[in-house]
Amino acid sequence: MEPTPALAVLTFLLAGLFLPLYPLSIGANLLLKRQPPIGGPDPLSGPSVKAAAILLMPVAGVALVQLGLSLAGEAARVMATGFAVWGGLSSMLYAFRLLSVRDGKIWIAQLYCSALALVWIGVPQGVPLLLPAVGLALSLLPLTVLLSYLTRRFGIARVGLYPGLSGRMPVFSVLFVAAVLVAVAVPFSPAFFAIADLAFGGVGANELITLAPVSLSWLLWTWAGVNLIAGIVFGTPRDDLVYVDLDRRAAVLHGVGMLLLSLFGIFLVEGVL
Amino acid sequence: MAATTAIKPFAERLATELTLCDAVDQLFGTRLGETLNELLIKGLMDFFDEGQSVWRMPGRMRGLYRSWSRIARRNRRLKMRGLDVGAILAEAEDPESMIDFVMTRLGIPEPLWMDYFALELTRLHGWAGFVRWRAQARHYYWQQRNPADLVEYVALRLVLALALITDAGRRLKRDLSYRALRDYAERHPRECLLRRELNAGTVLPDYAHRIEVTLDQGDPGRIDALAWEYEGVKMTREAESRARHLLKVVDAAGIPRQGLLDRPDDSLHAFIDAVFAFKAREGFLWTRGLEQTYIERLLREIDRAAADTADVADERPGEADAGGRVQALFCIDVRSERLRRRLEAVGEYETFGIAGFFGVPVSFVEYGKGHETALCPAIVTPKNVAVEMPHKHEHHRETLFELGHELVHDLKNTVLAPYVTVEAVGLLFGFDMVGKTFAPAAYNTWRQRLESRKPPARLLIDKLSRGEAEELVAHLQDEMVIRAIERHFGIKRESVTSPMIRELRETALGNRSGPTQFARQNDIDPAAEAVFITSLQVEYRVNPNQRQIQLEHLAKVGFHHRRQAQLVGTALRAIGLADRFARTVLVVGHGSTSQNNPYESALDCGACGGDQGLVNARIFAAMANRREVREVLAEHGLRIPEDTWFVPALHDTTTDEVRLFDLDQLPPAALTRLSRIEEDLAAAGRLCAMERCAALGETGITKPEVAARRVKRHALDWTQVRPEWGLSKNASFLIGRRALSRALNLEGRAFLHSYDHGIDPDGRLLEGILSGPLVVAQWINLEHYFSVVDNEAFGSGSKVYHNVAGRFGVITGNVSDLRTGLPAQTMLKGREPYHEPMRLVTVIEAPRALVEAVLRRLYKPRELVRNGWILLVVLDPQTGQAHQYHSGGWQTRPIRLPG
Repeated sequence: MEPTPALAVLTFLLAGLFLPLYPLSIGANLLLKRQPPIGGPDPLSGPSVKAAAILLMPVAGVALVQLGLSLAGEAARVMATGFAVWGGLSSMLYAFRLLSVRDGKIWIAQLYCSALALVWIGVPQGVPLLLPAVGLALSLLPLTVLLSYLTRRFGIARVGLYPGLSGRMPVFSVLFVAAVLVAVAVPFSPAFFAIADLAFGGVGANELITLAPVSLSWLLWTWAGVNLIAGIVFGTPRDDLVYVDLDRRAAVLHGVGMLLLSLFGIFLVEGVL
Repeated sequence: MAATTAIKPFAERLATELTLCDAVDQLFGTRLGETLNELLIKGLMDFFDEGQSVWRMPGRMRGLYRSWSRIARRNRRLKMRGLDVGAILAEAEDPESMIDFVMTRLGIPEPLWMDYFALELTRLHGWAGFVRWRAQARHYYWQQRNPADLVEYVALRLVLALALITDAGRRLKRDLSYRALRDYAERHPRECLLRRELNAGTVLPDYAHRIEVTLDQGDPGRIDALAWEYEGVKMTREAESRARHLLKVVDAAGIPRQGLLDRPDDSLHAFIDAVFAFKAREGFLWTRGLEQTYIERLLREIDRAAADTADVADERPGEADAGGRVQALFCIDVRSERLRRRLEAVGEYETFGIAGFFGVPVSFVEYGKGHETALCPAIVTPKNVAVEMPHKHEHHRETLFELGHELVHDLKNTVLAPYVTVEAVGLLFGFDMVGKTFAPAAYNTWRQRLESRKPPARLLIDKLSRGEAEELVAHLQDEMVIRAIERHFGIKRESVTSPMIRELRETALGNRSGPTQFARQNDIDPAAEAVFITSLQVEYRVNPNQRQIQLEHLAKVGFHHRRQAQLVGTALRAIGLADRFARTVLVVGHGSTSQNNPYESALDCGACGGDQGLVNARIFAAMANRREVREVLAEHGLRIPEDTWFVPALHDTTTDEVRLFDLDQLPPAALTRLSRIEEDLAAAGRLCAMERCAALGETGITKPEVAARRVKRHALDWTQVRPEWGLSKNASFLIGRRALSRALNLEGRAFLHSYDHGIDPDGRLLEGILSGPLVVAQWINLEHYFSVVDNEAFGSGSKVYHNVAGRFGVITGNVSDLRTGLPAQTMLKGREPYHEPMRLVTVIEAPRALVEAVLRRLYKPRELVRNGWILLVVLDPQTGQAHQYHSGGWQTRPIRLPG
């Protein structure tokens, strides 16, 4: 393929829509945080659409990055470094904003933007991007599903509106805590192995560009995760609401799903997949 | 209309139920109240610290407000947050003027000021209560050193509140003064409704998003429409919730659902209203049911026990053999009941209940400690001091272990050292942690061996004469002179004669002038001698003022022997022990043992100010053993036989072990009796441990020995959040002869005060019991009552999250209100209450007329009875009637009483 740097930049920018680079991230962000309009159903805000978007957007993004790299020719390394800096900054920006988010849908959208923007830091060193991208995206799925359960149950998934679920919905709370921990990349989640992959792979190119966003974003995700858990799982429950815990079947399904994710994470680091 | 009536209170609640910070938070979703509390708590923790922090807040001696404002003016962190505290503080110097300035600036009408101050004080009621207590504790060392009062506290709070409100107003582009907020609430009632619902956490979750979007759009029409709809939906859901509750009630009551649904709407409404109106009174109904059930059972058991022993005369055990039997004075504490019952069952023991300070209010100065500890109930101020003196004077040499311990803790507490020493020092803490966790008993025994022990010491309890006091002060000053000579000139004691020391002391005290023999002999020039004398006066405090202070302090030490006789006589008569003394009388104070427990003093003796009762027991025994005291007592008709010896002891309420003390002061004949007593005490303790293990829910306890080992482990285990139940389940206070309760198993729930109305015709002894021990027991009872009724608000929540703050209190997490009351682990077993919330059932065995006469003389106990805080039952032995006080009258029933 003939190197065409201008086309390569355009391809990278297109990839920035799916592996979100601020402000190109606005589209992905809007889609993922979409709430059903007042007074009517909205297929685009359903959990299945969002889950599909979370899984497919990274794949599309990675494909576009690969295309861009092949189009860039000799300028690939310089371009990739520039986009890696941009990706790192975008990730830190969204991680920082995540701290003040109270709504579950916005929380998932911003975590997606922060996490998937990190994929860019592996580009300059030629880290294979697909598995880390999929690992980061997959880790968001359990939380997406559980937040949609909360939305169905209470009309909205938001911190502070119905605290103390641990007392009234213990099964859900256990799964919810696990899902949040998986989403913020605690060890043995696919996201953890994904960011480890990106960090170890990218550190050869530039320590600062690689490690600063990874470590700072990771720290902020964890902080935001603790806030999310504290505002939903802990606290004193309201007496005016009706609480219904997950039934046995749903609990088993969710549990098995998360176990599979852990296995995927281990395969990811072992390079089996 | 409904919305308007719902909103109108919001405007009216301003400054009476809501502070301006609360109102802004509820209307605009800010967190001013939370931030205000956080900033205030940080300032308070810095100021009130009693030695926990390494870098202390400077200038604390100026007082709370002035020292805080001095630092706040330069606090860049506050400025970075947008809080211009400096500008506010520049407006007034003293706290009163500052309060006036802030209240005026906030625009709060003057008639509402008192309400507003009350609101501000209740926002952190633990801290406010602590500041109030401290302001009143004039003799408290830290209050004298760093004074603080509630006016300063309120001023500080208001300064921060004004800074936060000003900043929020700037950010929200709104006037947030009282008048502006009230106008806003009155003009936009429906918008206020929605805002309050959204921000106060009471919104219906499925409406949260709509309300947020609608408020953001700011269209008044839409806001009003949504408010109407929201109110309707909320009311419907509330009705549904009530209906569900009603169905539960009728199901529980066995009423068929269909029968209920067939009733007309009006009838159903009336039914629902009645159920919910009852709900408000339901708690108290259960409380009364609980109390009455307990009273009925107690009286029934007393009656039955009396019937069972009707044929047996009220004879004390082993009356004929004074050498074989033993008398023992225990604290009235509920935890003594088990041991007393077991001890009486084991051997010929006659036990008495008395307030655990044994009627000796005293301040105690422990050896090696410089401060006085009041060992008496909080309602008494001790006038006398007891000092602990070691048998022999020895220089304290620090062991290698202690030096290492100090070094490690210094490293841990400094600012930078932990960062560089964590790898090396952290390992030592890990070793400590493993030892404490996996082998607490063995590890603690080993640690105790390493730590140097306090030398054996006696208590100085006799009054010093003026001459003795002067001699003691002179001796102390001579010690200072010797140390000063060695430090200044390197001259050892052997080169200085006593006349030289005396001459130097007299010179420093200004009783003589001119060159001293010491200076002449050691060729010290007059200038150096003058410097040395000044140093003695200033640095070593050998000066007339200090001498006078020391003499005044010594004047408080000890008791005159007539006073000792009065204290001993009053205590013995109060419990009915005026004759028939056994040869051995145990005086048993109590204390607890636990590790890693900020609430340890809650497990110690309430009558000793939350300290252990051993010192009072030792003082009482020493007094009662003195010949001069017995002579005075005999003059007043109370004859203690010469061969009767009082032996102090300590009952460990966590392990139920009892240790005897001061045995070296007993004659050999008395010592021979003690080995059997010690065996009996150990056996009774093991039986108590069985009961204790059952109450704690321990499993696998098959024998008393196993139980004893288990409870001992609890006392040494640093991970144990419930070393014992303490005074949980306390329910009653029995004032009467032991015969009344000897045959009863009161399950460690009763305070037992011995009292014999037969030797108290004018009620003076009963007056002492009702005005002291009863009031303290009632405090303890209410502390437990409120701590279990709402453990988060009136108790202190779970111990697991507690941290010690500044060595004076406990907080939850790293920033919180000071926790008051008792922790969840003392009150609850799992999620269920272990302590049964009941008011103190007080049973007095005495003629009703006598009790009424005494109550007429005592304001506090009378009010407690009249206002229903104490449930009084009088067992009248003259009429054989039990009289229960209820709503101003007496309910009477017959009862059989022992003897």
